[in-house]
Order: sequence, then structure tokens, then C-alpha cells
Amino acid sequence: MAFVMDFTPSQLMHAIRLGLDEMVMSSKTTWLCSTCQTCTTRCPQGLDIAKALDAVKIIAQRKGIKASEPDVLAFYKTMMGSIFGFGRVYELGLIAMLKLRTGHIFKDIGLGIKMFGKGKLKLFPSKIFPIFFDASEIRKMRKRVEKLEGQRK
Amino acid sequence: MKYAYYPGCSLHSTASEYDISFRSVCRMLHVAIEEIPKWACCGSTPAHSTSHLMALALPGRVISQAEEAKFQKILVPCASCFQRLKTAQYEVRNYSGLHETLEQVLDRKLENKAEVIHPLELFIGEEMSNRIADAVRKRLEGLKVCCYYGCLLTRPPKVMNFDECEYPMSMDTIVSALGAETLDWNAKTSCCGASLSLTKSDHVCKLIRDIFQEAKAVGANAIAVACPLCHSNLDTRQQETEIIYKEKYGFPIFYFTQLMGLAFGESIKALGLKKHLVDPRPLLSEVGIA
Repeated sequence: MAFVMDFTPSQLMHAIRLGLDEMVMSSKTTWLCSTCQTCTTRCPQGLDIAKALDAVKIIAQRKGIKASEPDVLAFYKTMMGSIFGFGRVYELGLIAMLKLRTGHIFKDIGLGIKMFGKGKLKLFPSKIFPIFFDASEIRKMRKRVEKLEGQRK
Repeated sequence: MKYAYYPGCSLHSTASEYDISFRSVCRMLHVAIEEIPKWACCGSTPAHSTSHLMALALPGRVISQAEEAKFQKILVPCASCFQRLKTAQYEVRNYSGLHETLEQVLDRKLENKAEVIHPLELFIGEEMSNRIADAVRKRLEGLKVCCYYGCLLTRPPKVMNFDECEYPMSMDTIVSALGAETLDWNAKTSCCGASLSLTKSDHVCKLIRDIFQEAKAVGANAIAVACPLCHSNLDTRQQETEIIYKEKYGFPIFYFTQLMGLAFGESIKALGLKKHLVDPRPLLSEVGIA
């Protein structure tokens, strides 16, 4: 995804080292990273760049800094909502929620209908229902994570 | 020995044909698998982009559940789930204090000893190779396949420790054992854009165009994958990409398990081959496979 990033991953690593926090946090690079792990795999200095980019995203969210690619953050939040709600990803619900959050109501409608026709999108989270019990376990995990991460702030 | 099977969310929905073809191949090769009861999502990209701990706890829970059910090996066909489970194992092994923290979050015991393996890893073993050779009923002659591994099966190598990270061969070995011709090409481990497909689809179309051009350049007539998101992007966004770039690709995208099933004589319907947006049936009938 480097072709659409405003800074290359290596430039961003230098910016972090130089303490240019504002530049780092407002960059599109972190949000457009697909975590393909190519930079991490090839870094001659052995840096885990993909993980560093994740850390930047997480810190930016904690500090309440507006994401430079809000749709990408909306996708993360929507999918996590699905996981905390059902324990699994319920795709049709995720897509509908994402459309409401981003306002791109008609994006990929034609594609969605084709996929539905092929039986790729399920109308209800059918296989998910039997594990509603589990989703409560996931929500408990979330509470404990939030408590632990809150202590680290 | 029975393997624990972790399908993950995709194999229960958009990639259901990967699930059914994997199950059918296991049946034919006499590999006993059992789905982990009450599994939940591995968290994938949204988890590791929002909370480091949650991103380890979700796959940690899967490993703990498999261990609780006394499984020693977990088969994970989805590349993203596979990578998240391996990452959780790796981090728990390498960062002090994390094991205790994770058990506290999970409120479960985590031995972290169950081995996480990808079906490709299972099928390239010596014994399995023999079983595959015996199971082939119909050689896939006429198929010229580019095996596309994508990002996460092999990267980062220190965590995945599977195949060669820049130029893997496991899928090629399996697919060529089925009688198909596998091609050397440049985009084996290129990125398809993954989940950015939902929000940045124009960028994804550019990335998959690069992949299609590479496959075209070496004369492929099909692409094989081992990841639901790779499949989703290459298959469902292919027509759109053809329109944007005014080019024609027409590549059927197969899960490697579907190719195995075809060679073992399984029917088109039983392998979910009707579910693809780029219909593979014209090519299969052209080369006389189905």
C-alpha cells in the first residue's frame, strides 16, 4: 500500500525516532497499512515496522487524535463491535453498520447483491446464535483488557 | 490422531467453499478433524489495530479451548487466523510476563503448547504426499496455475517459520502433484490490500491489477489461493478492476483445496465451485476436467 501513503514506513520510523509526534500521528501511512509484513520481513535493522505502525494507531486512538483515514477506523470499530456482540464477524451486519458509519450507503451495492446471490453473505448470523453464551465471555475479556490497558496510560 | 479445526469467521460465510472443500479433502485423505466447540473470532486486523492485548487474547482463547479439549494440533486454513494464532504463541513465548497477563485476561489456562499448522503444511508432509498421489483420479492437465500465497502465510518469517518467506513453494508442490502445471511468477507474496477492500477498494483494484498482470505475463489460466481474503479480493473485485483499467483477465480463482478435490474426483457442487463470481466452469470444461 506504500504507493498511497504520505510517508513511507521507513520515513515514519525516522520521524518516530526524531520525536515528530504530530507528524506521525496525523500521517495516513498507519491507516493505509494493510499489515502485509513486507517491511518487517525485509528491514535490515530488524525493526518490527508493522507492529510499530499498530502502536501508533493505538496511541492515537487513546489520545483521541482524529484518524486521517476515518473510514478505516470505522471499519475497525464496526468489526470489533461485531466480535463483542456475537463473538464472531457477522458480515452482512458489519457491512450495513459500516455504511451507516461512513455514509457511503451505495458503495458496492451491486457487488453485495451478486455475493448474496452466490450465497456468500448470510442474512442472519445463523451459525453464531449457538455461541451467544461465548460472546459474554468475550465481553468479559474486553473489560479486563480495558482495565489493564487503562492502568498503563 | 485427530486435529482441532479452527475455521474462523470467513470460512463460515464468504469463504464457505474453502470450508466445504477442505472438509471434503480431509475426508478423502483420511485426516480426522473436529471443529473447536464454541470458538470465537481471532480478532484479525481490527483487533491488532486497536488493542495489543485484545489482539493476543482472542487467538489465545482459541488455543486454550483446543488445549482444553486435549488437542495437540490445530489446523487453521485462513491465512489471517493462522498468522494471529502463531503471533499470539510467539509473543507469549518471547515476552516475559505476557503469559500470566493473558491467562488473567482469558480467565482460562493457556499451556501454549498446541501446534498451530496450516493445511498446506500438513499436505506437503511425506506421508500425506503419498496419500495425495494415491487419491488422484483425474489429473488436472491443461490448468496453468499461478499459486498466490499473499502476505500472511509466511510473514513475518521469525513468527510464521513456514515455507520460504519471499518465494514459497508448498502450494506449487501440492498443485503440481495433482497434474496441473504450476508457473514461476513474480507476485506470489504480493499484497492484495486485504481488508482495505471494504474502505479503499480503488487501491485494492490497483494492487490486484498488478497481480493479474504478472499472472497474465507468464501465461496462466487460473490462480490458486490459500486465504479467504485473497480469494475475496481477486474474485469479487476482478470484474470491477477489468472495467477500471480496460483490460481483460478472466482468471478463475481456486482455493487449493478445491483443486485437490477436483483431482480426487469430487463434484463441482460439492466443492462450492458455483459460488465464485468469476465462473471457473467454462475453463474446466475447456480443458476437459469437468
